[in-house]
Amino acid sequence: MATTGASDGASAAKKEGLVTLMSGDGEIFEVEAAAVAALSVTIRHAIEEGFGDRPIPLPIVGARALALAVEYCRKHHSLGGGAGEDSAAYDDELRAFDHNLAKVDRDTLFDLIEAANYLEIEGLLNLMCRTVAEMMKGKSVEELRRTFDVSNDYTPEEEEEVRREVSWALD
Amino acid sequence: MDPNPNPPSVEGRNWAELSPDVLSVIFGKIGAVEILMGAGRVCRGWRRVAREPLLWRRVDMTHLDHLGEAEMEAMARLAVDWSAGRMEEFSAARFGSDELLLYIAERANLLKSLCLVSCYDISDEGLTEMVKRFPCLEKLEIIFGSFTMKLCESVGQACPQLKLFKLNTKGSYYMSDDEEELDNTDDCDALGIAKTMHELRQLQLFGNKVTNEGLKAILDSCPHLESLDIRRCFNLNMDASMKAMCSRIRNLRLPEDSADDYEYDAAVGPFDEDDDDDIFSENSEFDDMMYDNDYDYDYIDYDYQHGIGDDDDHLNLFFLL
Repeated sequence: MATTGASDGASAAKKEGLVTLMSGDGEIFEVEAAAVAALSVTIRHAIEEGFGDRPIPLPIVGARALALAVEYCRKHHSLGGGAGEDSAAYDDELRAFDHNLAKVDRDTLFDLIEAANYLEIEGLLNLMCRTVAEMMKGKSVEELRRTFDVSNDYTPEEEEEVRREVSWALD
Repeated sequence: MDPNPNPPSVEGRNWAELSPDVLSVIFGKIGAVEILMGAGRVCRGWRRVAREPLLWRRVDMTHLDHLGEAEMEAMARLAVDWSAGRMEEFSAARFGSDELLLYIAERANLLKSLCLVSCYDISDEGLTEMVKRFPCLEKLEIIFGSFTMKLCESVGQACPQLKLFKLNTKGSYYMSDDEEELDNTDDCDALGIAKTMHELRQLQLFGNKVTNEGLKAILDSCPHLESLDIRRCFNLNMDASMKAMCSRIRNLRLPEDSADDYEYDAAVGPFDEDDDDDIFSENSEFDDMMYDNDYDYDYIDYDYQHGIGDDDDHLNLFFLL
């Protein structure tokens, strides 16, 4: 967590321009307020509401996902000014960064999506959702269940209804 | 400020419990057919999200798939059902029938935009009957098909509020047995438009046989026209007076302008030598978003991109023209 500036408590002297974030599992991150506020709507609002000198609690975001989300904010803030993928500032370096970030394992992908959604980081949410969408494309129902480890929880009646809807394709 | 007593689990994540709003964004990126055949049937949670009517506001079924026409039609009906009356845009390519249009007409009260590409089983009458139910339809794209020279007039009469109209009648009319009809096709589309579509802001007549007379009628009758695309309309003579008449058009694409960014097969005429089986342009970008939070209803900025995805291997399976 060294690169994200994690420290062992919120008691450390506040540095100018930093904001303290606390992950759902209690880890503390001191990060540049400008970078995270530019990318995360949730954190921007928290700062505006006066959380600036206290740790901002992010209950559903785990430390690992928060570290990656913060890294995303920093990179996009410093290189792209927080502008979206349609912007000219979205250059090869940012593209490569995003590409690498999307190569996380499935659990991290899940956590990052939920983190991006909670933190309202639009670009990160889109990136991760696109990654999942690509994983879904072209797969049958059974393949999707295997890929995402989701079990069939339909009642027999529901199962029959679901089957009937697309019976013309399955017969 | 205490840490959450229930920190995120380190166990394998339960994708069935992915936030519905997140899943909705993901579903918006995979396209109608993938949802209907796959993701929307995986489990109860995903199905609930897939059946959220707002997800079906914009249904694009123009990209080809491994399914045949009958299956695509059944799929379109299912999409209409799942939209629960909230569908605003519908696009189809290489499938569809008068019956499907009627099915949509009876269930999608909010439809604003209709795009039909190579829907050869749809008739003038079917389309006209359908659009009659939508007098407020704003956008209509008719690309190829087996329509007749009377289409523009009857559609325009049914939808006087049409703001955007794109027409490429390549392949149409030529099927007619009526020699007289074939001879008179030059300005039939243009005059039909001029007679009925007075609210047009954007008009695209691609590869049309319109002459100067027809275009003049359109310019006289459509005072709000801001965008005019007449590429490959080689009967037009863009002389000084024609150019002067077009000078008020903000976005003008002339007959000889590049067709590289045209969404569909740009070959004109029914038996073009370089005509291939591909109804979509190779350059067109694939827009698989069915549902877009930022969708802009401003017709001026509206630019409907069509095309095919990476999976265009199946493209030629349903070649019809």
